[in-house]
Amino acid sequence: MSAQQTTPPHPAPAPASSAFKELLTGVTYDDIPPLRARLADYLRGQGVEDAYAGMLMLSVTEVLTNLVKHPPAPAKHIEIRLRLQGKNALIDIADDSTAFADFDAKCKTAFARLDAAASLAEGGYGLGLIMKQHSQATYTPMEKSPDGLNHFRIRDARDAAVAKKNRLFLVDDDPIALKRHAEMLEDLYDIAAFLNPFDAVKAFDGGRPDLVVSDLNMPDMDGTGLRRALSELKGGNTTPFIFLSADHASEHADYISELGVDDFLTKPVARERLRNVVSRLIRRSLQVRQGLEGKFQQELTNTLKPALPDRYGGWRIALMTEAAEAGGGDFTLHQETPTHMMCVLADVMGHGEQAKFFSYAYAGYLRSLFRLQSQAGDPAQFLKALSKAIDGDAFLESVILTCQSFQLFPKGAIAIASAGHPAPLIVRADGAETVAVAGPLPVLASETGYALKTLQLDEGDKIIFATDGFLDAFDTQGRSVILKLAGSHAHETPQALAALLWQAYGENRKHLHAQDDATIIIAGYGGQL
Amino acid sequence: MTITSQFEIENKPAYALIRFSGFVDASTVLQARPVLQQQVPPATTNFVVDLAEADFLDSHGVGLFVTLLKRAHANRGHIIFAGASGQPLSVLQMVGFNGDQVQYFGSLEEAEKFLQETK
Repeated sequence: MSAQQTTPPHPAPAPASSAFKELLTGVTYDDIPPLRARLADYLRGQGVEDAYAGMLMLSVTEVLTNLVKHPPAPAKHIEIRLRLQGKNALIDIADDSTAFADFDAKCKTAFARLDAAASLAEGGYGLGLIMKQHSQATYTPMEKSPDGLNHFRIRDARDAAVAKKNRLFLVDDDPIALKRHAEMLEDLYDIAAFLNPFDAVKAFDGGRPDLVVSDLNMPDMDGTGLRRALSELKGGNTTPFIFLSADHASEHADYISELGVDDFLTKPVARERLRNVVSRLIRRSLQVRQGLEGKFQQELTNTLKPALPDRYGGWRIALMTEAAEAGGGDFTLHQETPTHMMCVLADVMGHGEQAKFFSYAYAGYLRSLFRLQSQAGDPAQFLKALSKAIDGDAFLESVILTCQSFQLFPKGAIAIASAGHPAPLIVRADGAETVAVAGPLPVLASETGYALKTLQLDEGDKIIFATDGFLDAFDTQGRSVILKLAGSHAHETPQALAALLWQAYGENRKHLHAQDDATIIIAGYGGQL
Repeated sequence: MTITSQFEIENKPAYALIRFSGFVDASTVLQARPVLQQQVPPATTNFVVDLAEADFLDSHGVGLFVTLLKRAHANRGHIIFAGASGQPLSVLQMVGFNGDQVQYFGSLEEAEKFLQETK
């Protein structure tokens, strides 16, 4: 039985240019192979090596197939752009279909799904393959795009054709065996081969491998000696290690198992056996590393969790917060002095693990500065000091942070300054309104400084501070929805009002694609407790 | 890069041979899945997937192979890839397509030899 599927002939390839561009009006499965062939022609014309061209064609195929398969409202307009910058490609696929939901959440589980033999899942590998192949994949839904289209963007940062390949150390004093094993693996891995184990030890720090395959019986330093020597180097103990030996009995020796060796293969080893074991151990090692990184992320999230005392002088304070698992970073600082309580609500922009790490680093830095400033300065002076400190610091300048600093005085006075942060709201008995306080991002105001807004609250009045993550849930109507809701519940306690607003946030956040940290603080003066 | 996709199914005494050439993607799978369902007896133990002439594999192709692996699992058999190289082999490696019931051989002849030896 046979079946043949032939797609229509594709147009002659365009002459080599700086970018590959295609505009499609709708797409079906049958449109994808000819498009892939045109892309192959373009990549060949640009001199892109076959392995990388295959990766790019796979990723474009996966994105387009998703656009055919999943959106309730299919795409009618698709723009594909691929630009080469040196050895790297930048892909942008724009479309007008129903936007993918929960892209960030899917990214977090995509890697773990790449285990077909264990999961026996018949689908769901596409996103994991894209992420595995490329340095970065991002998705911007149409409501957040200036051109009103969804954008799936893929970016690479390869410094050589072998980038993304896992690195293996092969160690064997038999040059013929070493060459044979290298040939079995070199199409899949970046191989460093050593006839002398001492050379492998020396090379370890300079180009740490993802896995070591070593002969057991070698003069001067045998395989067990190499394992011990690497274990003493940074990262050596966690690098997967495979022994190869012609002596099958060695596999069961106690000293082998005590060394924590990951597998033992008997020579001569079949090509596919060696490739399967190497692949399995590298994948297992990656899963363990990702598990540890996930735990680290959780610990960072817990460390950053915003918190304020629930009362100060005549003030009652409610705080609601939700942390994205990996991304962004809202955090608070506060310090009571004999005359006031100084507070900071900060939001480090960004999504993903890197943003969480930056938040952690920034929180530590701000904490030190805050301790120095909160005794003597007011909120505007604190923000100016922060701006000056950032000015010229390459790391701090690279991170976008918004920050609101406020000072509560025991009898209802409050002083506020803002560095790019959403303006607070004031809730009085007759309704709610925005407090006119604004200022530039910290990095932009080292000389100009910040305006200080002071208010005297009456009994029952409240002031609401919120981060972008909270306001974004309400889309463009965010501020007016919150003003209306808060104004109609002006009599509630800070805690009750916070609970109401948080409930509204929970109902609206469902349409958010890139989850960010969200925080609101409501400080109420006197009135009902 | 080809723009054709072809598959052939042949039921042999010890295994079902599925031979792909050109690309193996969602459009191929859409055609191949019902044909496999109809043509390959449920009791088939071993599957040999010949990819020597295949030059492109996507995640939908992987999904089809997982279906075969599940059938091999159920019947305590194997799925054997013969002649896989280049992009299709890289994809199979990336999705972790290995384990005791998955074998790779350079050619169909080697795959057949393996099946004879494990009878």
